[in-house]
Amino acid sequence: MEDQQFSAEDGLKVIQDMISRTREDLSYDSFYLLLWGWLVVSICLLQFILLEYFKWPYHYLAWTLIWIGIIASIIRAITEKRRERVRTYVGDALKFIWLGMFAAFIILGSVCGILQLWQGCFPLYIILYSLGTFITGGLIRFKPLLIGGMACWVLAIVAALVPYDLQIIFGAVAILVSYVIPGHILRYRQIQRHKLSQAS
Amino acid sequence: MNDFKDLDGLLHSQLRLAVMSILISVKEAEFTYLREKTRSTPGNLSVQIQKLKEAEYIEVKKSFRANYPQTLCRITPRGSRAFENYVKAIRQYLDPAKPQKG
Repeated sequence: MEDQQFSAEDGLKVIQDMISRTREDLSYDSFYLLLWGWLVVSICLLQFILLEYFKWPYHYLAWTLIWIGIIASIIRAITEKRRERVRTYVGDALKFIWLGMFAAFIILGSVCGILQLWQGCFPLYIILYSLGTFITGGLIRFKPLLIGGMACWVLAIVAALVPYDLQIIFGAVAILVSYVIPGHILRYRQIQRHKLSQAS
Repeated sequence: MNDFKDLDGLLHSQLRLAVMSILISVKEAEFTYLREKTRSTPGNLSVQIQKLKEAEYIEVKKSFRANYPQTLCRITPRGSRAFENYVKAIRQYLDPAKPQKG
């Protein structure tokens, strides 16, 4: 791009072109949605199988697999930080939101354990899932996340009406609609955009 | 009727306007990122960034990351205002009959 005098029309075109090129580049990374989505769905299903089919009293130990997500997220965050060439206000806000959400998940799990409230913890977890995805969907203007977040509101209420073993399944369904499905749609769109930008 | 000269001369230049359009959308960006997005040469981009810096439209922070030099650019409040005024002026210029908001 050479520095040359140009018309007002060209000026408007440059602004539109640069803003759109930057926006495409800064779309939210689907990695964390897919990692945590599939991990929590797998943990929920494993816990359900341990509880229902093996009658194992320590079925909740399935949640220790969450360390896989923690370690993978830390590695990814360090790698991203090294490669980061641009920072946005939305990106920074999302980091704090998800860090706060993660702390809330851990604290809620601990509180439920201390107070022996396991029978009612899944509806509360589903409410937290909805909060994270709904805010993220709003900030990045991505409808599937907003819809997933809203679907969780209904699932949280229904989950409160069913026994604990079924609540686990509701937890898996909530993660499927609020993380996994939007995560795959987002990933597909990112791949398509990347192909388009490579072609242009 | 608005005149062409109403447009901010510093911004009414292809590369400087491109840099400002990127920086208005982000918190801060590295020199390499700006170079890639504007498809400009390092020398030309450096000159234009220096001009924007001298006008206090952007802040430039030089540091090191993993032993490599890093140049971070960020728009200033003055730069944001100038950009907004430029956009208003350009719209007014292109469509003088339409009253501009703000």
